[in-house]
Amino acid sequence: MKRSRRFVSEVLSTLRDNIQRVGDPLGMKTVYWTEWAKGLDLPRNGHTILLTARMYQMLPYIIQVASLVASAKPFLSRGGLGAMVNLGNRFMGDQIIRLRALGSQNIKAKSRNALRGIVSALSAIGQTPAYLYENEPYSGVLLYDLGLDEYIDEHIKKVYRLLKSQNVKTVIGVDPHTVFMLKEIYPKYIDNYDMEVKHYLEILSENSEMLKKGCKQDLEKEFVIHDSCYMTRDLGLIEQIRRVSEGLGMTLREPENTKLDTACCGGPIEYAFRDLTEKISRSRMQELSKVSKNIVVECPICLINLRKYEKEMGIKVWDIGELLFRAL
Amino acid sequence: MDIKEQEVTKNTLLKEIAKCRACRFCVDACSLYQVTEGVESMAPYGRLQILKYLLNGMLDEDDPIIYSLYSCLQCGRCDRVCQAKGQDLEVSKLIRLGKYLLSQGLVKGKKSEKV
Amino acid sequence: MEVDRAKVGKHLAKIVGKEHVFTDRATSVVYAKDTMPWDVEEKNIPYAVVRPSNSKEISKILKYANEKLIPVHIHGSGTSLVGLARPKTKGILLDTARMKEIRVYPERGYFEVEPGLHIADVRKVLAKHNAMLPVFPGSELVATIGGTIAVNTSAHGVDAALGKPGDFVLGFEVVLPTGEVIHTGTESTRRPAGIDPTKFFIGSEGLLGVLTLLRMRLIPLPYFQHIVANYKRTEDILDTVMEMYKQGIFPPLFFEFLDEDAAKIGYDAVGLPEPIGAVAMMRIHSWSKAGAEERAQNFLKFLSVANPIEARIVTDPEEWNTIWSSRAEAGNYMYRLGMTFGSEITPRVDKLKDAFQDAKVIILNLDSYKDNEFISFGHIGAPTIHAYAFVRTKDISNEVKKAITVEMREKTEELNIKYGGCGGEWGLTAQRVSFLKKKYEPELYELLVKMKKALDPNDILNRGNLQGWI
Repeated sequence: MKRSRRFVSEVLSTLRDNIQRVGDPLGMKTVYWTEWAKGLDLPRNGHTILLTARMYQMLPYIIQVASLVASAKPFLSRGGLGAMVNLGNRFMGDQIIRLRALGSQNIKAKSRNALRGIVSALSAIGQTPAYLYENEPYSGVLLYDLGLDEYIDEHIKKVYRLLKSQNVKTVIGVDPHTVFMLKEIYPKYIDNYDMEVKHYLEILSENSEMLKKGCKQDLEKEFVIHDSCYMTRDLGLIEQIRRVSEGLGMTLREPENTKLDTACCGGPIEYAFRDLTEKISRSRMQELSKVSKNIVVECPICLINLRKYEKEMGIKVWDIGELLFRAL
Repeated sequence: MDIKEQEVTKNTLLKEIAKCRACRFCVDACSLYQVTEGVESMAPYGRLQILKYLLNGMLDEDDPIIYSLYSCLQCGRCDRVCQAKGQDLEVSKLIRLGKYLLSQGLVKGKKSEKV
Repeated sequence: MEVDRAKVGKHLAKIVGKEHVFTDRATSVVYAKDTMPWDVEEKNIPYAVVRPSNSKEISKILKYANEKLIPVHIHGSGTSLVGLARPKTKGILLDTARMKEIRVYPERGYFEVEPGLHIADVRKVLAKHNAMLPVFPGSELVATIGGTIAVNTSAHGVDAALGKPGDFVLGFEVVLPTGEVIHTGTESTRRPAGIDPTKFFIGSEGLLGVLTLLRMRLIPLPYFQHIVANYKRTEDILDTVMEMYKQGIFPPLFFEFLDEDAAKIGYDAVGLPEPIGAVAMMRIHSWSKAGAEERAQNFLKFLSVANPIEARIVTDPEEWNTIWSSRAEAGNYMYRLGMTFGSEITPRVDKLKDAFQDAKVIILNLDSYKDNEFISFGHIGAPTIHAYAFVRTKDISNEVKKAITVEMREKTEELNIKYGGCGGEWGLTAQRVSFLKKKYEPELYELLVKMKKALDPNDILNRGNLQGWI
């Protein structure tokens, strides 16, 4: 609680600077968000695009930045963090963060598989959306969450201009935050907003029969589902993941706090209050692990937050994208 | 945000918070309230009161206030309860509006009127 | 006397650990705010909020408070409807939220619970053991068991059908205002006869001690049957209640009503088609299934005494739940349309109708506000009338809010006096002190003051509530 004001101020400023400077919340200029698509040869242009908004790809770096921040916190009184990350970002930040991220190969593989699984699944039902590769923007969701509305105006307009310049008419989002931003928030800043925005699970569940046919492996296992706050309460997408999972042969069990009453993983405040996030994610994991040792999530933030307890509680956390990857 | 926009946001917040009937059903639904073992300022109702008293001048922005407001996950569980059993207030969105007002003063290199 | 926040905070931190003490203004303001619609004032804001985890810590806190003559106000969930929860003067706020253990001993026939556990959570635990919690507040999601027993309220329950929750308390661990920890009562399921001090702390409204452990008898879950009846006018429901007592018929566990206006709002709120007239809803209980069914059939026959438009047994649990929730939602939705100022009138049974009619006249002729409406609903079988002044706007100043609340309280309490009642739900101190003084002989209030002084010579616990400060 002490020095919260100082700390939140540093983080907000860093975030704002990063996004204004390079359009990325991590402040990284080097393109880190296209590696997953190596070898897929996805079309670069099209009316319909798959928008990852870099969310899954950011995961290994978020983990590293979070621990950097946690270890820097004691030195905060010397104004250390802001200066460090800022300076670091400009010259070495990219390097430091990238080097340490190499250590988190596991999460990198999970992210990669999740995204590839989504592409395979869409392809199995005859959809081949384009991918903007290095031109792919970040949605700006963190700016919105933290009340930096003034800077989000600028960012949203940039993103919209980019999408328009690529003749995009339909956006298929892969994570709830991005879909929420483009569907609910962007229209507030853009007149005559005409982008069609869907979450890939909507499309898959509408074509679940077809998806089922494309499955090479049956995932006969019992899973407990952890719904994402944004998916259920903000987007109203509740049954989609269930339909898709059943199609893949999964047995889904519900925890007590599920669907519209789902409990948060704690992720959204990890940038500042790690101790609180840990308590929240631990409590949620205890609830989930009582129902099943296999947990399925539909959001990259939930994924990294709940994974922390894999060893401790003897559980495994899967993104639904990963399971699609396995099944197809 | 210019002064006029700030005023509009402040008035919207105060008007919405005035609709709250203090039933406190949102309190129990909050994950932060649960993990802090029932600290009232870490519950949605408490956060709305903090915003109200901040806006009417009884409280000054400080660490505990930032801790209380920015620890909100924006998860929406409180909204659901208020919709079902309360006054249909979008509690988490009001808290976010509060962050909007405060973030102006927290971001460096920006001169704006303190809330 | 100047009190240094930091010093108080430091001392409390030595007792409970620094992470369980708050001295910042924001937290203090939040804890001070209760359900009353007017703003917190400087005098209500505590120096510090302390969150102990056991009676030893509370004992040390109270000893310190007595030494420094700093008042201590007890906080459960802050949901009191007569202003018990708001600190009346600056002091230390004692939050019981960390004390929420519960242990059920079926072989002993009782359970033990700490004061900070929310009622809904107690109910969940007891249900696993097929036991009933004899308390039914609408606020059960947040109201605490400690607060409930400290006020001894059953809320929705009809006392004549089950009793008050205090009737099921076997014993306490309680910390006296001067800091001593004592234990009262028994571990047997038979309550002590005689001058058992458990009685003094039941309903003691935080004035005589801090309840730190409550031992309550396990009551098996009964069988329920439900009846809904529509009447042309509210008066017919009142007649029914009066006849019920007159004929010596065992009352239902719940006997609620919604007047013609409240019924429309309530039914609309839960998506039911517009009801005809005023609505009464009853829950009948019995510890035998056949018994519940027979009681319900008999009660249904009895209801014909006041010629309801329709009266029937509701067998579909979902239908019952929806109808029942219309009662809670009526109040909730009224508040969405404006502001409500409530009252609790619990008259002598044969004066129910007179009390209702008087309440209507009073509420439609307030001094502090013109153009308000009259609306009523409540636990009519208890018999309790919740008569409301309903104002269709939220644009009222703090002063006027206070004035209406006070006038409503004063005038409706006159009816409790005029018609021999005493309220039955919300306690007798804070906003109800003037009633207490008017209704009974002055010696009664003096008796309470003497008791308070005997146990709390420095007036530490919940100072101001017995005095009737706002």
